[in-house]
Amino acid sequence: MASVTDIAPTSVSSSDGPEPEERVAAKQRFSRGGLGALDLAVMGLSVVVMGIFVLLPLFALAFGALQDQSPTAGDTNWSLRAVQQVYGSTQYVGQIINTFEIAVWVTVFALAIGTTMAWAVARTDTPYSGFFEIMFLAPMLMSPFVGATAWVALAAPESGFLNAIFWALFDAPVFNVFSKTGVILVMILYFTPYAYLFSIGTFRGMDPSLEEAARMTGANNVQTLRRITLPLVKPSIAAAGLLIFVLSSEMFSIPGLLGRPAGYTNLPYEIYLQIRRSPPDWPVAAALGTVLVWVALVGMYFYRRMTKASKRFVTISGKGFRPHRMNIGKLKYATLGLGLTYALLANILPYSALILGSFLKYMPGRDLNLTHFTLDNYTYIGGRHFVQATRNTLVLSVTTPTMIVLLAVILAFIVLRTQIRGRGLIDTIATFPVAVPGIVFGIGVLWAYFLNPLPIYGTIFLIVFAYVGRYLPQGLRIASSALLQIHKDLEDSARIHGANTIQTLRRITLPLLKAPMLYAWILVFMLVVREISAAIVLYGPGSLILSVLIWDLMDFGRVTTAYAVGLLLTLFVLIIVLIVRRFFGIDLTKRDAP
Amino acid sequence: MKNNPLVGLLAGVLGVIVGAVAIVQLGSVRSDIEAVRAANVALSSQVAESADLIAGTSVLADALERTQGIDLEILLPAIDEGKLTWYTAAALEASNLQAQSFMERYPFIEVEVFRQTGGPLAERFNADNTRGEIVADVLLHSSPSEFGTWVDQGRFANYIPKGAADLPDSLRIFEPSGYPDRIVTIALVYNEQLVTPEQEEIIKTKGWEALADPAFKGRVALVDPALAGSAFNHYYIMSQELGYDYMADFLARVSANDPVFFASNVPASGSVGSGEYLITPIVEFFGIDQFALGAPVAMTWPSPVPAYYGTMGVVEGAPNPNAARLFVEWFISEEGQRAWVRNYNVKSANPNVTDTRAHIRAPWFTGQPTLAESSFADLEQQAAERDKFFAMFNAAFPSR
Repeated sequence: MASVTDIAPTSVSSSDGPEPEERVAAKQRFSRGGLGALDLAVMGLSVVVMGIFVLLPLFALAFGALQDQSPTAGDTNWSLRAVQQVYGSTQYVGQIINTFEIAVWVTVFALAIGTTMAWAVARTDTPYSGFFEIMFLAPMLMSPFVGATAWVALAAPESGFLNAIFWALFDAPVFNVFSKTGVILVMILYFTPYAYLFSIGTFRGMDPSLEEAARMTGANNVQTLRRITLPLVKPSIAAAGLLIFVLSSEMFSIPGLLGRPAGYTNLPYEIYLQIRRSPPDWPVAAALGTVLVWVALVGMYFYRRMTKASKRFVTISGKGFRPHRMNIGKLKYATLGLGLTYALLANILPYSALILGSFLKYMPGRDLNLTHFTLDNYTYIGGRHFVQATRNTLVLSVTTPTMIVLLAVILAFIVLRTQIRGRGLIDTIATFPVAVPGIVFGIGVLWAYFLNPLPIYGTIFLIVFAYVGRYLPQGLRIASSALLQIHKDLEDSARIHGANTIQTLRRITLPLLKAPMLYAWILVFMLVVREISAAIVLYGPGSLILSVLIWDLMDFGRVTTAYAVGLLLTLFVLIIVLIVRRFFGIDLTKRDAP
Repeated sequence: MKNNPLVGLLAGVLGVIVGAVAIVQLGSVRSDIEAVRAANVALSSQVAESADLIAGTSVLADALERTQGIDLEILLPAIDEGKLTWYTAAALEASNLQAQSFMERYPFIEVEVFRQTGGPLAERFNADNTRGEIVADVLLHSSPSEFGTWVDQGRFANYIPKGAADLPDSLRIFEPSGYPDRIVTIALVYNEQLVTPEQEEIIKTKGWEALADPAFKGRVALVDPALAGSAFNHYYIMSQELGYDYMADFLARVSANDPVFFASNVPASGSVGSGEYLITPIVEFFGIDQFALGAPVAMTWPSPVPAYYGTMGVVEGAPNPNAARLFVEWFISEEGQRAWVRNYNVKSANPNVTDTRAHIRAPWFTGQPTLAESSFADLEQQAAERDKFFAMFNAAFPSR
């Protein structure tokens, strides 16, 4: 199992692989002998944190897969039925292959587009870089599922708005979104921002003298890119690739909507089916979830291979230079074209369709005319459930990232700055939830806590717990890499001047961690606000949230009302991100991000 | 599942950590509940005082006016309870409107609506029961077979609302534990703007066979029965009524027509409304809903008419048992059913409740099958034949 330092963005000064990171970390640890009371307390805390947020739901899941029915039924018996059905037959082989196929294509193309554009924006003279900054962030503000329905409105063969043009011209459609290609293309659009965001910081922080040296020794642009730039940014690409691979292999909504009509579905869709059918088969759903863990482990394997090879390219200084943007000549038209195409496909077209749709009574296809317009979808807002869901979303989206950031700093500190025995285990355990799809992790949390004396069952904190477990790895990775950037000398000098651990933390370490932690906060915030798959099984009376409300509206045919609510949620996320940027001076895409 | 010591230990330590956060949250919820309770106690004592001392004042007159025909043995404690939690698998928006209609009638009871789809709703209801902390006062579920399981487990209290007397005997199988809140039929929905007169004629004369007619090749949308209970009911009831041999042949011919499968009713219904596909067999509610929004859809109800029903009941051990009984009493009454028809575009199980939905005024509407003309699945047989059915279905659509 990979360590936690393997799974999210790799920072500028830690572009080296895991092994050098560990060496650096070892050097930077406080050298102290014996276990103090404080050590024991923090270690105890971290064990508890890991237990409640990560291990308990996973144990519950494994337990459930080995029962004859859902643990909530009360009187369950041990049974191998579900495990046999999943592992002992060939009936899911096709869907497993499709899951890999989707994940591989989406990962490869999202990385290619996202990384290329991050490079173009940060390192080259490609014009309109400010515009692209927004265009590569904006798709993250909308739920991919809602985005996919916008693509149905645009590119359904008979009724899509885009195809209407081709019908008029050639009396035949050009696009068919209900296809394998449709599934993969739409998913690429929504996963590209991860690749962009993960590598833009590294590109910005890269010392240009290396590239200059390459060019002075006669390398052309392409050679420089291939031999110098790409190897340096490889750990970031690997981290983004792993995240995209895992997220795209656990997505059921887009394959369900666009792939199902073409007979093309994946394993997460099968899990959803087991939950949706009547009566639901929860043990099989849990057992299928364990298959996705293996899929994620395959992604983890390639990630480790990629980062291992990059260990030769150690340490780039993050300070004392002024990055400059190189002239790439005519190549800039290619990058400009790529950026504009992406902006059109991922933002301009789908957001236009959503905005238009939010003013329509239903999605009318090519027949669109004035009688279809209405403001009713917006009058829905302000209703009882909308207000309740907005309030809960606010609580959830503020509590979760805050808890994750706090826990991540503490845990990263224990792992990297102490010599407490067993600290490495924290790393490993915290990585597990990355591999578990949201809907399955949600079931695990429900099973873990419905009998638990903790008073969270039936409250919004059940969802908070699931989200903390799910996204803790992201926070921990950012915290670890940020902590590695702070040289131990700073902390040591504080200690020499008589500061104790707490004072050192408060006066030196934490202030330096502020920027990356806010970056982590925003990233987790954006993931949490849109999250739907875990929330679907966990929300209870009084804990409805906006993403679930949108899904519910969709589920009962109020598609255009869902668009209106979805757009408002997008606006809500945008406002929070802008507020955080304004008050804390954090730019997600700028150099001070890790 | 037993509560193991590790769980308890971990949970205990965590309690200290998140305690502060949880207390703040729970504290505010509790104070809300206290406020509501205080208001209700005040109200109920006011009603009681009014009854005792100042009969004829507006409070009592109002309460009596609103609660005509309701047993005081239920009414007075219901007023004291002042609230109820309704677990529902029906659409959130419709459930919310229905709760509002109830609260307009009985303003002294606050309804908390909790909507989830069938699977997760069942999961939560089971979890509540196993925990021994019942949250739901009333449960409405769309799958009669799961409801039947719960009835067998004694999860519902006995209560016979007066409206039950109007229901046909065939729909009173769960009495005294549960009652049908609505009837769901499967209709053939088509885009009336885009079908040719010849195609429309085929739909009207051939019924379900239209799905296999070459006139609709490549233009048929279906709903995946593995995922949607409604589609499972549709094809299963056809098999039950027409025989597996006919059905295997019919499905093979439909398959030759290159239909597409959607994961649920909504995208199938939307795809016919937008003209992406011409014809789809779906839950009538979604067709009527599209029509009400102005989409150019028309519908017919070919024979056999596959039908099933949603079911609701008072939960055994409900924290607000009297408010729950009042709610079910109202829901199954003609007034409650009229509201449900209006709020949810569904068909009432009560034959006395006339259909007021938008589609009955449509030019293409020529009438709709009665309850007697609809076919329901034998629940036990359906559960027993599940594998047999899907073997047949999957054989017809191998690449599905």
